[in-house]
Amino acid sequence: MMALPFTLLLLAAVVATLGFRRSSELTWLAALGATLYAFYEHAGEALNIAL
Amino acid sequence: MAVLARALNVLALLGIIGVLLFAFYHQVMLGELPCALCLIQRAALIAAGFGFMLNVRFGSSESHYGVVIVSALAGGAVAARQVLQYIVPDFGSSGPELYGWHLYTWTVVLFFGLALLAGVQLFIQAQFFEGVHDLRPTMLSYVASWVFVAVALAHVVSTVLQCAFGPCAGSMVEYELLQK
Repeated sequence: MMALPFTLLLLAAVVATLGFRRSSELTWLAALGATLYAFYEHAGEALNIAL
Repeated sequence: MAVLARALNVLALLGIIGVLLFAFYHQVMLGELPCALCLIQRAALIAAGFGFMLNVRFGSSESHYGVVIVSALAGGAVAARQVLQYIVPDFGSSGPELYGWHLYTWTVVLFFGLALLAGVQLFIQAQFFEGVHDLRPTMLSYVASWVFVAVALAHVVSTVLQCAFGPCAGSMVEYELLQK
């Protein structure tokens, strides 16, 4: 789900702006995990490398 | 030196906002929808910007720079992966060029630069001294933080419109939710 990393990052930014530092850092960590999972889903797409 | 660190953080945050708005301009005004890997790079860029935003909002901390460096490493890996996708000449490319390089190639440079900037800023010890955290955020800091939130919100809306609630296709020409 590609929208999940952006949603979590938005949540982290809003939470930080409201003054909750530790919660926002944890939300960022979850967002980073979602971002890396999205990358994992697309990392296997064909490479155009001629060897 | 603490003031210099704060100024650099605000400038970095504004720079990232500028890059995201530039990408958004290409998407909205020129109708070039981002590919899946491009979207992931944007997410990593927002994640890196979040680290600078934490510094701006709460004062400098090593962990905030850690957020920038880890996000930049992740984004750099994704951008490098996309460069590899088109590494062979005449095998095609993706997206527009800027000064002879594709945007994903510039993104590798950008993420490298962000990690370098955060690493260099860690050497400014004065920003971590006790009492420096009591510096009140400036009006520019508040404005930059809220603009950053607005840009993040715009990306949530645009990504939902483009990919709906599932994974994104490799390259898209239409917003999935706006079809029909």
